[in-house]
Amino acid sequence: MPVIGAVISLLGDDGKGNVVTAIIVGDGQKFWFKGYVHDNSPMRTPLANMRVDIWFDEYSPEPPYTYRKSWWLCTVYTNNAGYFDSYPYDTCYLKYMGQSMRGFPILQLWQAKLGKIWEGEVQVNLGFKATVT
Amino acid sequence: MVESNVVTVTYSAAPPPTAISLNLQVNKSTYDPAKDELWFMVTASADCYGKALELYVDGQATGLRNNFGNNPYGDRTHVNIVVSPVNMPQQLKAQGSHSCKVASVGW
Repeated sequence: MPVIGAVISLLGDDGKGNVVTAIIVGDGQKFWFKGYVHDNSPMRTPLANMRVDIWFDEYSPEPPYTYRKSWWLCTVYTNNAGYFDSYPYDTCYLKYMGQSMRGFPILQLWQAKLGKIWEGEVQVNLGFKATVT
Repeated sequence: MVESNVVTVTYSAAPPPTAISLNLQVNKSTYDPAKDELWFMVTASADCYGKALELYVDGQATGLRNNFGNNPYGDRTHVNIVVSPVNMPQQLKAQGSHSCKVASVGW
């Protein structure tokens, strides 16, 4: 499977009509990820049957926000149009656990099938990405 | 390995309200109200399962409603309102062009 030259466009879906690269969610609100994989030719030819893994990237909660670890969330495959969607089986939600000593929310990240993935203080936002290997 | 762009998810104690848009299409551009069936196809921007909508013609409610929960294939973002000679609203029986829209009912 040729992955060199693949381009992944990832979007977040808040389940409320917003499908964009930056979404805002409340406590317990389901969200998920979707997008397209195509080659990097001018034709942007869709790449079908590509394995796409979706990850949560953990960074330190305070500046300079150094990368710590990627947490695997799910694997999906592209259809003939190069489209992938983690809905409805691999949705996520955030659970508010309270405030940290510094006044920021402590959040848990849950995945529908896997359960609790991660917990920590969040000063700004959470970052997610997709990969093709 | 190829990586995508990053999608950010921001937590908010007061998340923004639901903003759903409805898109309407019809399967015919000309019709005979005594013979033809018109299919008004409604697509929602997000899951609207269980939510109802009504067809308006020339700004007036027609009483013709359907519910996203009625899609026979379980598609939560798509439903049709079918108009046939039997239930043809008065406005659509008049000759000429008509403006049609759908509006949510109770949500």
